[in-house]
Parts: sequence; structure tokens; C-alpha cells
Amino acid sequence: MAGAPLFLLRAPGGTLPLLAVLVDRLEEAGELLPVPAAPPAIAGVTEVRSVVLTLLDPAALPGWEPGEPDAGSGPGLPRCVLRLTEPWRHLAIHVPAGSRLDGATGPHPGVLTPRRLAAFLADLVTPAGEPR
Amino acid sequence: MRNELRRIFVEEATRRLAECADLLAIRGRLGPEAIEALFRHLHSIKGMAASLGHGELAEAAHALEDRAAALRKGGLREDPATRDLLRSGIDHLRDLVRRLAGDPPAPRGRAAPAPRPPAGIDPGRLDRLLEIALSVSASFQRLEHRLAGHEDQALLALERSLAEGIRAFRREVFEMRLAPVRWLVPLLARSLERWAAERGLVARLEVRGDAIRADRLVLERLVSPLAHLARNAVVHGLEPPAERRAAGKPEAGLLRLEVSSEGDRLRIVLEDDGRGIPPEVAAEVARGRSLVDILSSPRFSTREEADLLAGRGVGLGAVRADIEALGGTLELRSEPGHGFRAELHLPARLTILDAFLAETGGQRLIVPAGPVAAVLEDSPEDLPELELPGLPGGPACLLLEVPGRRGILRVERVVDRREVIVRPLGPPLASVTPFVGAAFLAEGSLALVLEPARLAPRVPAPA
Repeated sequence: MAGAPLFLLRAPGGTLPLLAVLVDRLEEAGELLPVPAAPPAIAGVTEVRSVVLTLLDPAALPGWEPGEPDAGSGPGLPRCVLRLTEPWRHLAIHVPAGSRLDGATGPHPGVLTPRRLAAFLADLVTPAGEPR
Repeated sequence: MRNELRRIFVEEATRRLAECADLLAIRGRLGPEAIEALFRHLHSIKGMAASLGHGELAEAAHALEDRAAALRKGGLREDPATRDLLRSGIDHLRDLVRRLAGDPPAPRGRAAPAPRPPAGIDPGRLDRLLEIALSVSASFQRLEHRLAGHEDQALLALERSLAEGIRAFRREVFEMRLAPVRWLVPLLARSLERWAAERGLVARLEVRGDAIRADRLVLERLVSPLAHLARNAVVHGLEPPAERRAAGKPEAGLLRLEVSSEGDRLRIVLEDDGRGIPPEVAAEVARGRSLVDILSSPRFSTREEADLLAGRGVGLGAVRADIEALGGTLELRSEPGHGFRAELHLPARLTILDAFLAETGGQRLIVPAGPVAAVLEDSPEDLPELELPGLPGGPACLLLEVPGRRGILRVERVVDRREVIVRPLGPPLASVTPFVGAAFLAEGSLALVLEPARLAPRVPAPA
């Protein structure tokens, strides 16, 4: 994992370090539609270029470091989504307005990896398919 | 194959660049829609060029895409100087594409006068157009209902004429959405080449039936599962040249994509001539388990890298889920030493759902019309009420009938009945909520699609 490229998503309320291989692209988000009875980790669904994406709340993901990130320069991003790579192309991480996305190089403790994300998503659903 | 890929790329890039030039040839300011269109064209050209290894073109498109992105976000002023900058960038890209095609550079500053492929339409606009077509149809159905029993012949003639027009409109919109399966081939070919090169393998792609057309949305949804299957074929199926020679096979591994149509459905076969499944998996098949069940059982790799899929079949669960979400099926066949074959059957067109649009708790919901036995003003007391988790009920009642169960769904208002296009949500959302999809409404917003069979009876509050 040493030297693996990663992104630091600096959002209001904290920072999410994630391996760059998880990220397909950053895109501006459309209307966010909340989903009743969804687990808190799911921020809602949105449309990006005619594709419906399920948005994950970065603050609920493994590796989230609470705290106000460095202010940085400029106004930050508009509300965006970080679209994920295979096998999660129907998912994206919600990037709240004012966030910043910086590149970095690992190792970084607690970084979100494909394995951690897979385990996290599996944990949202019990084997019987019922919400936990 | 390379020449074919180049030809497809040149055609597509030429078409997109001509549209960019047209946008910039219009006098006056570039509106938000024109800027968005420019950005999308440049983004697509960059992606295609990069995936096909045309580095200089990809970089030039990337630089111009950055300018369009800055323009879009207001970081670059929209003025004559910026438009000139974009025009010269487009000219440069057109020269690069012409060079790739072996043509001389084009005259500067205007759209190419030479014939070009028919202008494409933004897929997002096609979606909107279809939503509008469905909405017009729904309004017309209500009008027809009101006109039932009417005897004014002039009015009835008008109704017939309108019905014919709406049918033709819908047909044309559906036609416009179709694209040939060939659209998928460059991606598959390029990926195959790259994966094979990385592993020191020689592989070739053979394609049959790629002129068959399907809805663009279906094709977009096929990119991921087909790429996954192709990657599995290279990584786990095709043997190194020496091993192939020893087994009496040609040195170059073969991946064959065969597409055929079965009425409104597609049959897609992707097969390789590699080593096939391991004997232990074959033994399990011999004991009566289906190969697709064995290979799509959920298990994730413990590997930390992007390469999540450690063995043949791991990850096939995701492929199967993608295909089933499209209303399709996946069949697998393989024998040790004798290749691997995946056969997909799926609708060639979109899933259009006849549904009720309901509102409750500030949320718009799509309720499939199939299980709705009646829309009632009062709730019958002898039927159980169904729980809509996280949302309040209301005075309007939908009597739902699903196999083995009847119940009442209470909502604040039933807005209307209409047809919508359903986009599946996929896991984990579709597994943990009663919502299985989302649909764009003609009004321009999204609504969640409810699966009535997933609603449980409401538990009465304790007294």
C-alpha cells in the first residue's frame, strides 16, 4: 500500500481519505432525492448524465476523520459526486458544496480501500436481505 | 481491427467536432446549453482518444475540455476572445483527427463542408423527449376517457388524428434512441488488447452481429458486465502462447462476441477458447449445481488493490445482478480445457412501466399499476394496511394485490396514471428498502419506484 495514490475529500465536518483506484470521476450532481427508510449511510439518489446513482454519505464511510479540514484557498467545489469504479458504478460518494478534493500519496491510516468499502456495503444488508 | 477502431473513432470525433464548430459558428454568446454540449463532446472525444491510445489527441481534447469546464463553472469569461480560443482549439483537434484519417488539414474557422454522419442528439435530451412522449400519451388517454360516448363526429375525427400522431411520435422517439451494438466494440477491443498485453498474452476479438440495434440506455448498462466478462476471459481463461501451443490451440487466444436479436430481445454470447473452469468446479456442476449459481455466489477478494476479482467467477455475481436488473438472464457454460461461454438474454429496449404517481410526505412515488386493483376514497376495514417505511399515510387508498396478499397503501394523493422509464437502483439500496428503481418524470424531477411485494402490513401502534 506504500505510495498508493489517494484522494483526500475535505468536506465540511471532516476528511475522507480514499484510494484513487476507487474513483472513476468527479461530476456535478443534480437534485438529491432522499430515500425514505434508507440506512443513514445513504444520502439519497441523484441523476448524473441520465444515470441514476445511489449516493453514499462520506461521513458514514470507513476512514472518515471528523474535524474541520484546512480552509484551503478558493470557494471549494459546488455540490458534486465522486463516481466509483467497478463493481460500484451505480454508486457515488456525495461531495457536499464547499468541499475540496486533493491528491496525496499513501500510506495513510484508515484510508478507504476497495476491501473496506466492500465490507461496509455488505454490512448494510443482513444475509436475509433485511436492513440492520 | 485497429483500422476498424480508428475508422469508428474518426467518424465519431468528426461528427462531434463538426457540432462543436457549429455551436461556435453561431453569432453571439454561448448559452449554458451550448457550453454543456461543448463540454460533453470534448469529454467524449478525450475518453475515446485515450482509450484507443491516441495520446496527442486525448491531451489536446483534455486541454480544451478544461477550458469548457472553466467556462461552465464561470471561471473563464464568456467573451469573443474565449470563443476564438475554443474555435482554434476545435480546428486543431479537427486537424489531428484528419491526420489520423490520412486526410489533409481542413480549412480554418468553419464547419467542414464535406458530408458527415447525421448529427447525434444528446442522450439526456433523448431521455427527456421520451418522458415527454410518455406524458403526452398519458394525457391523451385521459382525454380519450372523457370523450367516450361523445357523438360529435368532428371531435371524434380529431381524436383519431391525434391518436395517430401520438403513436407516430412515440415510435419515432423510440427509434431515435436506438444505437448499434457496434458502439460497445471499441471499448471491448481496446480493453482486451491492454489486458492481454499486460499479461504477455496474444488475444483477438471476433465480432458478429454488431449492427443489431438496442436502446442506448441498455447498451450503456451493458458496458460494465461485458467488460467484466471480457476481463475474466483474459485474466483467468486465456493461456500463455506456449501453453496454448502445447494444447494444440492457436497461439492467439480468441474472444468471440456474437449478437443476435430475438424479437424485442437481445441474445449476446461472449465466449473464449481458453482453459475453461477448474476440474473442481466442473465436479460441482456434475453434482447438479448450475455453473452460474456456483460462480456468482457472493464472495469478495481479500486483495487490497483495485483488482477485486481474484478468480474466475468472483464478481460474476455483480454481472448477473446487472443483467437481471435489465430484465435479462445470464447463462454460463464451460468445461476444463475447452473455453468459457457466457450467454445473455435481455430486452433490447427500455423498461417502460405503467404506473400511478402518488404523493405522500413530500415524496413522489411511482406505484406499478399491475398490482393496483383499485384506487379508493375510503379504506375497507377488513383489509390490512401496508406500511410505507419512513413515510406518512394519507386519505387516498390504493388497493394492492400481490401473490398471496392483499392490502391497502395509504398516500396523501394519487396524482395520475402514466408510463415511466425505470432505472434500477441496484444494491445496497434495492436490498434494504422497498424501492427498486427511480424514474425521471416529464416534469423534470426524479421519483422512487416502489415494489409493492416488499411492503409489509403496518403494525398497529400500542394502545
